Amino acid sequence: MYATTPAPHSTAAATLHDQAIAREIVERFHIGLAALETHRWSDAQAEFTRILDLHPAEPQGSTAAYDLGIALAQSGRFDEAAQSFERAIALDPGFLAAMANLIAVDVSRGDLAGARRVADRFVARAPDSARALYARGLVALQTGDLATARSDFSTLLHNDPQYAVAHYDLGIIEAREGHYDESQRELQTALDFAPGYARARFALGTVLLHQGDRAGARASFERAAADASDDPTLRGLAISMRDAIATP
Amino acid sequence: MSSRLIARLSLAGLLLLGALSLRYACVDAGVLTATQASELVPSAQAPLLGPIDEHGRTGWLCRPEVAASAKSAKAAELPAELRP
Repeated sequence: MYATTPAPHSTAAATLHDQAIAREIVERFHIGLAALETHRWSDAQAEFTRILDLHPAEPQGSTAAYDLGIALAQSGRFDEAAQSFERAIALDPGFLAAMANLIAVDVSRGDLAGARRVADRFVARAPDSARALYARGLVALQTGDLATARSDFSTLLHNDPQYAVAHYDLGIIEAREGHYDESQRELQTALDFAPGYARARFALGTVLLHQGDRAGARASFERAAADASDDPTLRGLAISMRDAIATP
Repeated sequence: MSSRLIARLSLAGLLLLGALSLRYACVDAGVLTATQASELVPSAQAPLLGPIDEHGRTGWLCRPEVAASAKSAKAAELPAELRP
């Protein structure tokens, strides 16, 4: 005799089928995520593609498309990755992580106009998001929209004043506009927060050279070369600059 | 020393100074052009945000979605300053 009445179990074929599909989706998510973890991109692609073929409800549909986008991007298939992230956003228009990754993929495949469109949507959805501001600022800087780039990096720094990389980018923007005093100030601020920031030190040397401060520039290139031990290209450039100044 | 010799030495000195100045200017011009054109590059783009499990992005502490909306650079997983 039962103490309680057991829960009824459905034996309807349709219900059993739906339950089997739901279990398969979850299982394939686990296998796909494990494949991503171990960099088996093709295996991951197969799992997330199969999930999408099963037409899962939200949020699993947009999530599978997002994960598939990562697997494709990691194997260099940027066009397909972009399509996958776009699918994720179409299924879930507020999917910020998908927007962030779509911008990165668009930049990687050289579609800066596409990256800018997504970045505008991202900033509109999340005006204080550091990712959104950073991504749009970089795209704007690469496409010569220095006003937007300056605005985005300034907002990012308003929220996170000690982020040295944003100070560096502002320094680049000011230098491109010929504002060398402002550029020097931003680059120096970046270095105050991150003294070992070799690329900022190199940029500072260049700005000092523009300003006629040869000794300061030489010292900056010297220090940049020392700090760029893990970046042979930058180290070589810094040494060349230092030597060019030293040899009249 | 004759005034003629002094004049010749002065002229030679001026020419040498001019040549050195010109070399200085050429070095700087080359250096500046090279750096302006190619080396003052923006920082690197942020790495991809990570995968999400079958529960989706909402209703729990989904790390990629939290990073995408974070205000601080660190929480947003933006590039660190040493590797722009």
